Amino acid sequence: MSTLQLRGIRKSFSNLEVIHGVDLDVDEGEFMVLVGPSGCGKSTMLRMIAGLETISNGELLINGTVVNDDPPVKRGIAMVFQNYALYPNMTVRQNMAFGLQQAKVPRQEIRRMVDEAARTLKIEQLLNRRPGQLSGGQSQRVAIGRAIVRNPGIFLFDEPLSNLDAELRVHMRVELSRLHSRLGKTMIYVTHDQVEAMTMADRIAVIHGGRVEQVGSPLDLYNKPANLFVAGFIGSPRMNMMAGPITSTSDGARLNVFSQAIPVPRSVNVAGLSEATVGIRPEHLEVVDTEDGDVTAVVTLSEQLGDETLIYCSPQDTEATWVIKRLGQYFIKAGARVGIRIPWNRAHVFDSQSGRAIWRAEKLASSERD
Amino acid sequence: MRSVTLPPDTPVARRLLSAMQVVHWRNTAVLIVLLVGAVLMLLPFFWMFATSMRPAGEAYQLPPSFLPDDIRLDSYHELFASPVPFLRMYWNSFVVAAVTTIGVIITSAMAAFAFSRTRFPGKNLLFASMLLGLMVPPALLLIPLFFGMASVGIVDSIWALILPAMTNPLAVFMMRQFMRSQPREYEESAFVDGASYWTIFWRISLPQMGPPIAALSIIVFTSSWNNFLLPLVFVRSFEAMTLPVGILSLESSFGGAALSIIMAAVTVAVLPLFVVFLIAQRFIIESIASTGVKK
Repeated sequence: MSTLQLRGIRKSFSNLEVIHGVDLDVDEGEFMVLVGPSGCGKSTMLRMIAGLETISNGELLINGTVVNDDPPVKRGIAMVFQNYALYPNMTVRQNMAFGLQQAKVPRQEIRRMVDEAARTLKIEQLLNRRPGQLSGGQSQRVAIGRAIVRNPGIFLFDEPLSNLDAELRVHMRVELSRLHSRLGKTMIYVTHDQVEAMTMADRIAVIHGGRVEQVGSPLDLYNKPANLFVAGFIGSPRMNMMAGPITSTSDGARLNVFSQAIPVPRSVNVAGLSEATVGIRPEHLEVVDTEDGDVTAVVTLSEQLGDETLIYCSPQDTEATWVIKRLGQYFIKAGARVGIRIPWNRAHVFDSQSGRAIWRAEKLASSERD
Repeated sequence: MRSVTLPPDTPVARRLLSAMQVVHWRNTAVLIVLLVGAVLMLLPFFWMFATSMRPAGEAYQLPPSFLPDDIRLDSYHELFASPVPFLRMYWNSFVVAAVTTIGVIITSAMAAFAFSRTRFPGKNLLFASMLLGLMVPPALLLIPLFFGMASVGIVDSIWALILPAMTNPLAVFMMRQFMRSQPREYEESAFVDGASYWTIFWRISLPQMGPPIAALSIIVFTSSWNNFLLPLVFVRSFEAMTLPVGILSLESSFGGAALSIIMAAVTVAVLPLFVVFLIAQRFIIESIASTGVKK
């Protein structure tokens, strides 16, 4: 098992810097997921860890040793690529044996190790096939098999499930989590799919614009997003947002949204802030009669998912679209006017300019009680 | 009982039927154009083969007949019994074309790998300057090449025909374009596995280059087999002579009766090209059919 540390890692292509000084620690045996939108630099970071891209600045340490200039094979890593990258001219057995052959492992030993890895992944019957004769799921297993047969300290996965259909993706997600539990190896997994990140990770690093926005456990990120980006990115459907001005009164600061003046706790420093953004998860909003709601809204669409209903609406006749998630089957017509009850004790509030979280509303609720 | 309208009578069905007829007639028109093209392409081959089977007198008959009046193999007998060493030239042509083809494929594949998969300073400049070589007319190179060959003492040997053709900018360009279109992950995966550049080239990249290798085999083998200029300038003796110049010498040996014999020589000469094309064509299909990357 191995540890990994990134210290002020930067990457530039010509004069364009795409990774802006990333610090990240990955513990022994940890399943770390790097998640972010397309083009955020997560794959570039993984490729730098793998040794496929040079590091422009900063230090990459594996087991405490700087490995910036080491070739991939000396880093004790194995990588599973998005398109599997199985050599089409070789059989599955030859694909899995390739890395061991490069390491000059004796032939008998290679055979034993390949057979063992194939048994682990239940792909013994595929060993004599060529990649062109495999389904997507089988190719995926073989690609993982090629990685585990080398017994690396760190596994790197670059969006390995994105080519699979929805059902197989769920299945392979479970398989990968089981594999991690069984092997207990350090794994770094890149994805743009936050569901994959939430379900598989021990910890998630949210990447945006070449920077780490927040690192934490899946529920930490969901419950305590550090900024607007993380709040919007983690959670599906995304968090509902509404900006409003902050005003000062003799009684302290007030955040004004939807004709309501919400008192800002005295412990929160809002000096110099003119505007804040309130965020509330779709499952925390309630649809009520118009006269009982904190705001009124016009329903624009409702989606029936069977076990839950997603209601899209425009609050207070604004252009904004909010999503409300209700468990069960709930029928409501487009164009209907409804009331929305906002549980302020579930709200997150962010500085609209910098995006950083100002406070979570449990504090607000308790301050109101005070 | 409810009346049922049969599908062909419905407006939708009628429109569908007429659309299908349009497609059908379009296909027929394309087929006719292709057929005319095929006949035009095959006609010279047919005339070549038919003339080689005619007696010498019939070859010059006016008006010419489409099929030989009298099918004879005399031209073939005379060709192989002639003082011109046809089989020797045939062998020379084969050796030159085969060695050149293998050489071009190896050098161009290695250059393409370097240009598409490695990073080194001045790579693009080097590639562009190599492509500039394509713009130089071959005739311009003949004199410097001749002096070069003469200085190393290989004029009038098959090496004077093989060595200048060993590197081919067009082949490098084709190979590079193909390699660039292939996913980099194959090489990267092998690199992570600890493979050297040579292993990656030899065991991963080269086996996947079936389509350009097949296409290049046809192009290089054909152009080498048909090359007239180099043997005309660099070779004087029959020992190193190849077919294009050698066939020309048949005319001086047989004079007016040479047409049937020349056509017999040409008929035998085109056979290897057919074989190369048939083998390479099958390989192209096999290469495209297998892939390890899910697209």
